[in-house]
Amino acid sequence: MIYNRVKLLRVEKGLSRKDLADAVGVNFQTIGYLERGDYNASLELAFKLADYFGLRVDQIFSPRPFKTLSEQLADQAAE
Amino acid sequence: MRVVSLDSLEKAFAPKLQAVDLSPRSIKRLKIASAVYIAAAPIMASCLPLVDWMFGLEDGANNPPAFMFLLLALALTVTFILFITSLFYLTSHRIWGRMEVGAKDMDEWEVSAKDKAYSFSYKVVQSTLIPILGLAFFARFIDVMGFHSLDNWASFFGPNFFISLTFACVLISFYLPVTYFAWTTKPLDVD
Repeated sequence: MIYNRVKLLRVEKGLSRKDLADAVGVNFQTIGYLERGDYNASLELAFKLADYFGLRVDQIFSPRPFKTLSEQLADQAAE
Repeated sequence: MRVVSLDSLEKAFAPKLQAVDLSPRSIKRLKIASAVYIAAAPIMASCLPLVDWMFGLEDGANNPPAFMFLLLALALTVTFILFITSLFYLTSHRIWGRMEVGAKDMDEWEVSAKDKAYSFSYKVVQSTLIPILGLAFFARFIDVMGFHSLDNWASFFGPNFFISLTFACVLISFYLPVTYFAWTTKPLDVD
């Protein structure tokens, strides 16, 4: 299972699934199933998404669950 | 003169999936159609020899009453309508259209879904239909060789064989992949 932050990043940008899908050259359902964790993106799509959001691939995809916002804030406070 | 291109045909018959094609309602309809098809097929297959037998009866006191004929005809008609309707729905659904166009212009999730569906179909064939066909072939071979004259070789590949083969082809080529898709794909809500 590969976890991802695609939904978070998409919503942050105010995009619909279709908008994001068009931007990276896939169909809407790929983004939908990817966000839900029912589908693992190809390496090509992972790089396209990273390029689109201006992030590294490992910042969007991870084999371990991402920390929630509250966990991240707690970590920052502890540092 | 305008020439019809392959691309325009593809757009007309296998357009891209829309949000509505993967909606809970659409997936539910696909599931119902696949269930109706697989239930109606054996019912029809069982009714046909019964009709054949009834029409073959000679006039006599022991014949079943006329309303039985009517009831059977009605049951067969209803089953046939359900069978054809479900078949039409399954083959006209955009999911099937997309699966049929091959990997060209298909999205990576579509290619993956298609591959899984056809792989499932092949596994079913491998584990069930091939042994059944083999057994039927062997039984027919024994029957032809052991109990009848060699003249019966002509009926070795008789109408029943081809009817069964056609049914198997329909089952493998479209029913199993679409059914697999319908029962394994989680509906996608429109955002």
